[in-house]
Amino acid sequence: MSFDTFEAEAGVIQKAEELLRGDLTAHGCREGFEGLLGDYKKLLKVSRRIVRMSDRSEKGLISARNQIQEQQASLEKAHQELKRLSEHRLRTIVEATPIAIIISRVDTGEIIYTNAIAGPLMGVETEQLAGRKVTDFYVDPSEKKFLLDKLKNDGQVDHYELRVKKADGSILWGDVSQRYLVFNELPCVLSACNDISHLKKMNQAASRFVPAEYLSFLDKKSLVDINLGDHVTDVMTVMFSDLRSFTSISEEMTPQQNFNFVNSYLGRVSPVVRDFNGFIVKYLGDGIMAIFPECADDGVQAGIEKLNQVNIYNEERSKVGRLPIKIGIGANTGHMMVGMVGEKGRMQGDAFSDNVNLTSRLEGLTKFYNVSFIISAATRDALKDTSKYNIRYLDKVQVKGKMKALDLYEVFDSDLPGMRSLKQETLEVYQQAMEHYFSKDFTAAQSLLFKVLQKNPNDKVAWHHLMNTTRHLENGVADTWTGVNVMANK
Amino acid sequence: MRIMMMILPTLPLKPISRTRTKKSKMNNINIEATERSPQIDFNFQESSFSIRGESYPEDVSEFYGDIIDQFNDYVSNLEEAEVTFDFELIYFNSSTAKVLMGLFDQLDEVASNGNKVVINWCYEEDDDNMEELGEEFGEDLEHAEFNMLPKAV
Repeated sequence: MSFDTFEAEAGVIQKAEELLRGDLTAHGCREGFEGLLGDYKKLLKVSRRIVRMSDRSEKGLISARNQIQEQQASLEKAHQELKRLSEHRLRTIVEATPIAIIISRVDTGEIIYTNAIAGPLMGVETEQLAGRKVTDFYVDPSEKKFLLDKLKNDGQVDHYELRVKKADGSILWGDVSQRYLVFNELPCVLSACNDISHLKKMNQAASRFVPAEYLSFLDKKSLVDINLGDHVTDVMTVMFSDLRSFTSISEEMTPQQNFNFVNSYLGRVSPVVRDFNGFIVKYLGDGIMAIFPECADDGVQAGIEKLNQVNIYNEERSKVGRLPIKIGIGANTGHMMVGMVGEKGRMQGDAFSDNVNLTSRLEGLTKFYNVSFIISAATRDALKDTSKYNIRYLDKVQVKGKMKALDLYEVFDSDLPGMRSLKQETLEVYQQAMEHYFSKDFTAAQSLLFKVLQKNPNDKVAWHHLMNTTRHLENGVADTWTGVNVMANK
Repeated sequence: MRIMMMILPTLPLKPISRTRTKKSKMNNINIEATERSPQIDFNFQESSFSIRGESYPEDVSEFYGDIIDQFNDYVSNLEEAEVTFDFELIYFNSSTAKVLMGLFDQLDEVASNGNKVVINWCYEEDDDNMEELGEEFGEDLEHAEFNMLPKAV
């Protein structure tokens, strides 16, 4: 069997055609047409019904469409209301945000929106910010371009520390993060600025205890990154300096005067360390322990400049009737370990190694030899060009606690001009005397030292060697004598 | 009778032999509903039939052809039988309407032959359109019993 939805209609047509092809006057033809008429009426009824149903469906569809349109309108209204509420809520949140939000145009830098806190932060009424240029508030307007370039390259700016100029001219530090956004159909920059001036001050205060150079040396970005035991091991030059006559000076001062004096002295000499690429590891009362990681020249030049500063300071002191001060400096170069020591709750920078201990001894020996600045042979050998400095051989010394003797040198660049000239003039004779001395030709050494002292009677090092030479001439020396001066005291 | 035969798809202009048969051994038809076609449940053993769901198949002849052929084949031999046909439609298109009208005519024809035919037109009580369609389909029935059965939503 076959199924055709319109088979009945096809049957009517087929029957009509058959009748028309036949004899229209034949018997039964009338009945045939009457049957067809009945079939036609029936089909017409079905057609009408289907048309009615279609009309009804169409009506239903129109009604549904209208209903959908009404629902769409209602939804749109609800959406708009929701959007309004959402915008209201968002605005409330943004306005209440304790971080300044500023939206400015990319092209002109004109501020087109700020939240409530932005005004007080900038020192103006918030309403007055709109229309102003963001560059009005940059201490360095070129930073605007820098930040825009960074935004362009990285897509964002996070936690950039920006100096912001307030309306009254005062400066605050802002932690600024920026994003691109389209606002009011304009390409804009959204900036969030948090006042970190207080934090900056805290960091600056903290840097007095752990200087930025020290952080950098330890390869740390921030104070919070520092941990106990962080250290660097390398060949460096370490320098110890100490006030010579502090005890006698301080006896005549009140505690406050003592503090003022020490701070005044340290305030003069400490920056010198930074000037020559070094950093102060720690203060030792009135003493300073400093490291010069880059080269020995930095340490020696810093020592010379320190002594120059003391000379200037003494000139000022003498003008107001105060006693001059003296300092001793020792410098040495070698392997050492610089890092953080202490315990979790309290730590400070320090440096360790035999070389460091030895340097402390060298500083102590300045008192013994009555000189200002002693360097080890290691430091002298590490200098790029010794002819730039006024250096002379000092002695062969075995410091307390050490087995090995060391050759020491005096740096006299900072001696007062008269003394420096005399030492320069007698340098050759002095060096010859030293050579004779260590080759046990004490007669020749004594004769040459007399010559030195004849010209420079205040050369205390020459006096020291003359005394030793005379003693050796009188008492003689053992065959094993090497000229090493063994120190019993630190 | 001739007219009825002509408009029904299964009754082309040719005589049908009527012989009483036992209840059919035809296989029942169960077709799951799809998005465009209704669930079909034709139980020939029980003489119980139903069409439920939405009906706007892409090709009405392909979907209904075999089903209607089997139904017509079955009912053409019925005598003194009791047939129940439930329609529970949510939506149907014009082509389906044509098929349904053919079914109604066929069922009325079956009823006129001494069988008891009950047609139940189920619709959701708030569906005015489906209620009116039911009334329209039912108004031409002369022999079959026609029931409008609103269903609570």
